[in-house]
Amino acid sequence: MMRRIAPLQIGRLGKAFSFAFILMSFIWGVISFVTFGDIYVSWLLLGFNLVVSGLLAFILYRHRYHITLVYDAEGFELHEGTKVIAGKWREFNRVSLFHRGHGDLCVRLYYKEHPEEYVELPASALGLDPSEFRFEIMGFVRGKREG
Amino acid sequence: MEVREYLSKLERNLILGSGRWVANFNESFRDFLLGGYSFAMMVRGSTRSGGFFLSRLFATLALPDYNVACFVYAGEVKKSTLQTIVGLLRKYMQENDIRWSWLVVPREGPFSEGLKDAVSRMDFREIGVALLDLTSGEIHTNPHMGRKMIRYVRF
Repeated sequence: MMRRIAPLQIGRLGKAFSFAFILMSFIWGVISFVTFGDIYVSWLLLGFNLVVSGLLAFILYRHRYHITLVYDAEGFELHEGTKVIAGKWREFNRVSLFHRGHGDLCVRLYYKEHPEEYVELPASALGLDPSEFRFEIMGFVRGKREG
Repeated sequence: MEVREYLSKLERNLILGSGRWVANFNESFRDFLLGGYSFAMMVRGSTRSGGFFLSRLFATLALPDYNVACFVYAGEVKKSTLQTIVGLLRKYMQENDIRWSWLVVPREGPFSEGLKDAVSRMDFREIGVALLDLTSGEIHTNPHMGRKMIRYVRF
């Protein structure tokens, strides 16, 4: 049975918003300084900046940061924004739980043919229990290896 | 405590808990096969930690950079098995440029006096060996590395 996991990733949305807000503020600062010789600020401008940053952040999040994982007993598809990585469990032989820092855990799958190359399935970002998710993936990989 | 529960606690402690004071343990393998032996868990990492700009800069300038690992063998252990396992670890460490390792042998029950004696006589500095009785919490280690690892592997 196909399983699809795509929760709203608040942290990643926040990252996109921060990036958009800083970028918009910088652009306004440059335009304002060039035009008026000073950096003009007001509550209205802040509100406008927040709205535009929100829209930009949403677009950025959908196209770059949002993660969707679709998998079944045969393989998986990982969408990160518009980038897609797909694989079959039979292509892998080793599974590990990897800590990317700041409590962000993922499941690493090492390719059989190229033992140094791997794919990371971001368990924490998808709101999954990393340890349980690792055991589930180990079951798929082992099943394909023995089957 | 059951072995499975212990493995989860140890894994969490090494990767996210107090183990980070010793090294940056960042990758854990379960059912790790080495020389025909199946280790219940192998956690590896390095002594240099990550972090944001300042901590990364500090780590680069002040901390040594070498690989470390923690192996857990949960199968039945005799003196001969333990010696074979330690030999395998030494070989694996050489091949993978690992400077030091811990070997934890957890078990729900006491270990034989012969095995404890064998561990006490393992007088080497690059591998810490600990026999851990999960029922009583009693731990028996080898002299050097073994003593240092107690606080990180016993709960």
